[in-house]
Amino acid sequence: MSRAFTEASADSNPLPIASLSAALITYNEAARIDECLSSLEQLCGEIVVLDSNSTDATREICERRPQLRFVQQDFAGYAEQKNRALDLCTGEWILCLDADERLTPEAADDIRRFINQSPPPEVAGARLVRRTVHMGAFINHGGWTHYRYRLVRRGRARWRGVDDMPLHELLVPIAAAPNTKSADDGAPRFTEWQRQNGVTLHGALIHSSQTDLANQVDTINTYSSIYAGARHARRLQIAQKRGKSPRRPFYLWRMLWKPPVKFIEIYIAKAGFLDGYRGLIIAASSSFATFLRWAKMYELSRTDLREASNLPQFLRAESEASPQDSSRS
Amino acid sequence: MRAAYSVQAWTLPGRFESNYSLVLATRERILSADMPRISATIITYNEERQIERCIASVHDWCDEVVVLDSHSTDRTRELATAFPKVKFAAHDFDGHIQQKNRAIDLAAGPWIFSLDADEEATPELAQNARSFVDRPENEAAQGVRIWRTTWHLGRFIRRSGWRNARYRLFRKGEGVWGGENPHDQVFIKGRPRWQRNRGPALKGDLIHYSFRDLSHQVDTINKFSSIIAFTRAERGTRFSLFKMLYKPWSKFSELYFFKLGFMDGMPGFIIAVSSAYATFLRWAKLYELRRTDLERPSNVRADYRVPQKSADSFESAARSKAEAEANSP
Repeated sequence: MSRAFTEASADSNPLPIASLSAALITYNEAARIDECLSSLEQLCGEIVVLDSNSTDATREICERRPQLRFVQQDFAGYAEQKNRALDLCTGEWILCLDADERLTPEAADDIRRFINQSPPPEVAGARLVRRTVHMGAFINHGGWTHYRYRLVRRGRARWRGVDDMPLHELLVPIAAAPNTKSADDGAPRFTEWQRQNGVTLHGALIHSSQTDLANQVDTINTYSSIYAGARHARRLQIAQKRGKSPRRPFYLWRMLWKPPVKFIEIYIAKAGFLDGYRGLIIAASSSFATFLRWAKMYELSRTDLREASNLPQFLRAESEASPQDSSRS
Repeated sequence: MRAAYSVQAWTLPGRFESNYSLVLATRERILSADMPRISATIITYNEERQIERCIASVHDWCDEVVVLDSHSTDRTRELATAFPKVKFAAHDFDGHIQQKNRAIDLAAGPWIFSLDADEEATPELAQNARSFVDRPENEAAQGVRIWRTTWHLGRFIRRSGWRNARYRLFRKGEGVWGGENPHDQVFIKGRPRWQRNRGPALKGDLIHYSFRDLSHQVDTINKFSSIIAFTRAERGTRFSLFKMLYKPWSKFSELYFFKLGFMDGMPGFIIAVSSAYATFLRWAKLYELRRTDLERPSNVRADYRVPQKSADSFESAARSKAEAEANSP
């Protein structure tokens, strides 16, 4: 590993870095936010918490921290909310975390070294390893341990949903404008590849929300509803744009071949079998999740159902409230 | 032609067969008396979506409707009491079976029709049930089975083992709820175990709207598989990789091939796959409970206790009912 910035020694003085802000969004996170904040306190000069009107003690827990800015706003969708949190930060660098994630001390050292290197302006950000604890152990394979941009320069990255779907949002760095390239002082602190593609830090971010299988099935259920709803809406939209009624879809083949392919992808191609029983259970559950997506799209297109009963509130159509109101009067 | 509601010969006392005038006299006495003949019993908790449909389907042909609520926080009470024949009561919830038996105790009629808030009697069932109850030769009958059909994914699921006949219309004192949710059922006095689901059945269906949509079904699968795995772990069942891999396939072929699920079209396929995954989940969660640090799945309430072995006959169900009454103040 030829990472030039590791040669600089870590700052022995653990003062928070003034130019580093942390951005978090929360909703009723009183149970876990404290651990997350503690892991950030020594590192970040500013912590911005954008809360969606929690009803528990999140606010009280947050306001105990001196460097913390607590802002409340109605929930507008994950990507929108996270982008709003980015905008609220004042530091040159922004570290984006979820309330169920925490920074390991090694990751904090890496970030400190990275920023002390004062990276050239064309470096938009750095990726961190995200490791997940599930069913009582780290899941190292099956695509569950991955690198994600989490440390970015202010104004140089935005959150976006994958495929513009309202789920699995990613922090996407914006390419440097041509005139941001600095006059180099000659020190080869970053390779050309790193300048182009960002830097990878190897300290880990630990994610521990899906602690047991029941929790994962819940997540699978919600996410497949979100996916099916968004995809179904897009189908209708395209048909409307063409001025036709949507064709009667046929999902059986996809319901038959996609789940086994998903299983093979996770269990074999991504080496999920190395995680033992857990890898097997995860691969089977993911393949059922794939099945559910198509089954729910079948349901939306062939039955009277307008939207899934477990769709999060922010994705529901406004019409949901009106039939109840009319029956009340 | 054999009428579907005729009672087996061994339940008929001999005198009715020989003395037709006595039959007529009894019928006269029954129909002229102002006594209630049949009580519908419903237990509820936050059922404002479905309670009206349920009560309306039994209101015309039952003499009273007992609604036993567990302190709902929605409009269940006002919706139910708007019907004139409703006898509304509230009691703390201590289990489905206890609550259903309590509702039967509150009912006046010699005949009980016990249904859930998510069920609806069809007009054909209403007609047949009423004429069954009013027939003097059925004075000696203990009860009669009723077909229950589930509406799911936009159609009636007639195969896949989802349509079955159970004792729901019975004489007060001759039947008692027992078993374990979701396999709770009415046990009829004196019926041996192998005959608990045998006997004559009425024509006409009870429609069961068990799930709002597929997401709701997956949610239910998640909850029940947690409870089942927890119960098995507490009772000492060991985890078996072989069973985790083999049982889902046998479940799928049971539902889809042997119980003719393929005749239910795409919903039949979705149901078979979901049930197979439910079976997988029971074993995967048992793995979690037996081989990792998890003490109870996150969606099992902390105060949930594994019940003693559930009642599987009239006698044991009646005994556990008596015990429950003795324990409650």
